[in-house]
Amino acid sequence: MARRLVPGVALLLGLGLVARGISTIVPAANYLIVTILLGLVVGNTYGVPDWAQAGVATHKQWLEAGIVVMGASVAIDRVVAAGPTLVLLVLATVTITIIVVELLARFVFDINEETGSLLAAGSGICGVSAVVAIAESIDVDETRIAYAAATVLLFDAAMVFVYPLVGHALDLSSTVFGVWAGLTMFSTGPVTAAGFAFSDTAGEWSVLVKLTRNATIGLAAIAYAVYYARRGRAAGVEGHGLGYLWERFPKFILGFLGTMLVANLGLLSAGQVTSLANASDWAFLLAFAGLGMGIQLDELRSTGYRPVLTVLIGLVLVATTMLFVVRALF
Amino acid sequence: MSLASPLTDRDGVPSGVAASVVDWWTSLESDWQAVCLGALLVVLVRLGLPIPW
Repeated sequence: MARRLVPGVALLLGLGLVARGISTIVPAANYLIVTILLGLVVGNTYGVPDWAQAGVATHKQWLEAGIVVMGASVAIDRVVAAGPTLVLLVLATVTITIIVVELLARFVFDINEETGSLLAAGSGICGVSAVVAIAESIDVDETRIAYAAATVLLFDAAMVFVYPLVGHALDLSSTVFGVWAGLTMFSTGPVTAAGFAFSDTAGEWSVLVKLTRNATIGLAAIAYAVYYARRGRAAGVEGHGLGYLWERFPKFILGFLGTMLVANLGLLSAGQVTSLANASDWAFLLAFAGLGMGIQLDELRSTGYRPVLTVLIGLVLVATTMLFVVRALF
Repeated sequence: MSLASPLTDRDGVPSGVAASVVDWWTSLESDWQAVCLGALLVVLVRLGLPIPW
């Protein structure tokens, strides 16, 4: 197994190290953004060689492992203090985004109802993972899944570069930027990259908020299953109980909470917390090189203009509104 | 021809404990793999492994 993984992981590491070298020479170029760009260029010119496929595919595990060890850097008192506000903000943003995108899809752009639901879930909760989870719960055909996933990926690819630029242009504080990115961007990888590209504090807040958002995926999947079953458009909601919620729950969040607890109980020295923060940075470096390689520009061209406009208008409305709210609260 | 190691036989196939660990690891879903990887890093750092940047 290790022999199969090592070449691809070495390729991810090589890209990350080159990106770090570039950002040392050009300090304005953030190394995380450069890593994604390098991955994107290599993935779309040479493609991912066969010998590297298995290793490159581990980028999701690196992202999640990086988030798990990042928990050591997060102060639990800060989380507890902001907790109720964050949970309310997350629930409000997820609900508003889903409603806005559903309404735009159905009544403005006349998009198929199920495709609209996939776009709404992808925009509101956690990107492609939400598209796939909701697709399974409402039994959608694969063409619509691919269509919605490509649209979400297009925005993921653009937002990872645009969000930090907007944040700096508006002179947002790290906390405001992190919470705002965590609330309104789509997939976990780009949220983490944009957050840490802005600052370490922004990165921690963005991941914290995004993990809270990801935790709502099971509830959203059940809500959609109930809705479509009532309309006779899904298999039903049998078995959609606690077991189903657990199955859908992103378990690496438990690892993040566990590490946060261990560090905040004083079981790690300051030096050890720094080592874990460094481990997290290395894991993110591998994850973002793979994230860039996974962005296939050919596939993104297959998205139609109506889904793109639906998600774009929904994003602008929700992101603008939430920016005002977050700035008022933090 | 590859040489045998404590974890593989002469053909590079995992043997004994190593094979069990590989089987267990591949049976885990991606999220749990990330949790285990993170937990391993926490333990190694707690035991004194420094990780520089």
